[in-house]
Amino acid sequence: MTELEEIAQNLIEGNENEVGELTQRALAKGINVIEILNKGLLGGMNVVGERFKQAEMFIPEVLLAARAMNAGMNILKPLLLSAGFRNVGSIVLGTVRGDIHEIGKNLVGIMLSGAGFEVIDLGVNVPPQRFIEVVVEKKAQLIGMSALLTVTMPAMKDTIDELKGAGLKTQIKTMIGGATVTQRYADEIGADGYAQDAVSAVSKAKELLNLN
Amino acid sequence: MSGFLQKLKTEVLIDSGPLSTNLARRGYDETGSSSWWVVNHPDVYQDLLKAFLDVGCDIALDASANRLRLKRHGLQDKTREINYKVTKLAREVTPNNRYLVSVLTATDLFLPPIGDTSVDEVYESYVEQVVIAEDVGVDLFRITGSDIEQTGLAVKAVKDNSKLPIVGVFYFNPTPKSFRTMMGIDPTTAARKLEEFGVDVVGTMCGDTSYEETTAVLREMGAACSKYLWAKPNAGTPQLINGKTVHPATPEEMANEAPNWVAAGARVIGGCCGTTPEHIAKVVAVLK
Repeated sequence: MTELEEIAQNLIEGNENEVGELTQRALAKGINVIEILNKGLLGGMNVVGERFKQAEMFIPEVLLAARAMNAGMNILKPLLLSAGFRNVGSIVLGTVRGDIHEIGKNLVGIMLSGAGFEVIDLGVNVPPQRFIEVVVEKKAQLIGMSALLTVTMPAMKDTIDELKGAGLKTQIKTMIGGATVTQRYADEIGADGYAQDAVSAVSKAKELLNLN
Repeated sequence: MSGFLQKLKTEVLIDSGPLSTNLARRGYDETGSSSWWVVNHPDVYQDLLKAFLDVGCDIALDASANRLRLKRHGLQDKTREINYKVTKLAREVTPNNRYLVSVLTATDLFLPPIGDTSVDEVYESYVEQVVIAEDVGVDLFRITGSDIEQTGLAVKAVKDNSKLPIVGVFYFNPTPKSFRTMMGIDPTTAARKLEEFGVDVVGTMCGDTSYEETTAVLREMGAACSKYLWAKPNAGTPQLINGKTVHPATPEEMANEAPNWVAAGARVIGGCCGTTPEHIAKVVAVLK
């Protein structure tokens, strides 16, 4: 197994310490930073994403893999900018007003970070105005909204209406998800995208930013 | 009232529907703690509890709350107050020939290494609930969740502080690989672990399983352990239609599938999200 394959394999297995050590070792060997990121860390995270989607891995394993990913990222981060790495885009993520469920949103955040997005996670119970404030302040391109309950879904519409009101609807793309959210609802409220799970969220985000 | 487990040997018992969706039809807006809402609307809760008893439920609707969950609403300091109040409200209107259940709900938090909620915190939060329930007087405990380890802690909390029967139910979702909880536990593993923990009744509730899928889950659990089963499915996946939450499964559909749950080993039949007294009434008519 190559060094990078070893990093990927340990990431998949959730071995935080090993991923950290192997990342250091790879750097010391002179392997290119971006290669380590793409083939080692993202290589592993992509496999995790696929397995999660196929119900071969579940939330605990995904979260452990994410920790291992962070261990590697923390080592690479200071070196990435000078190596020419740029985020593929920025997304402001949150669970909408009135809703405190966050596991799904957190998984989406992990997958998007893994795919090279800057993720600004506002947490739970996020009012519409806050999404707008932060997306403008951080010059992000996307808003991602999550809701687990049907009763809190209308806050998604409120956020999109606020965007319209601020004249930002065409500039800022919105995507939504959650157990009771559907493509039909996304169409109804004018969201630019809907994703059924954390892995689909990554492809949808890339699609909305014309990155595919 | 004692003899709950004894009764299961010869009878199918009927559990109530859920708190949240039924309170929502009576003014609760579904954000914020339903247990705290009950404290502030005691009559509505008692009327709802009685509505279920009136259609034939043997097990009363509980409104207990776990400290770690209340914390997410900033209400952790009201944990004792809430649990004493809601348990007493239930006790007041539940006759002696029906059963009071106290529910130890999933914390929705993660233990290390995934999260930073400690084993002690989880265990203590359940002990707190058990002690209060024992003080007021209930008949059984039901532990709900998706996480084996935390369920184990809840079982220990009960066994360390009570001699009452314990029910363990998990939330399952259909996946490409049959059924799993959010944490990846399949019905066979869940049933085996629950039996190992020393639970008296094992079951499935809520989750994203349809009535028919619930039958499949029950069959799998029944094949994996020697315990009676508890079925508490949702009335379908909720949809937002014209601004209202609709659970599509009808009382007739529930009554139609209920005999299959019994055939699969269920001795307690109830409902979760979207299940109304009307649903339960139809089930009682079919089963009793």
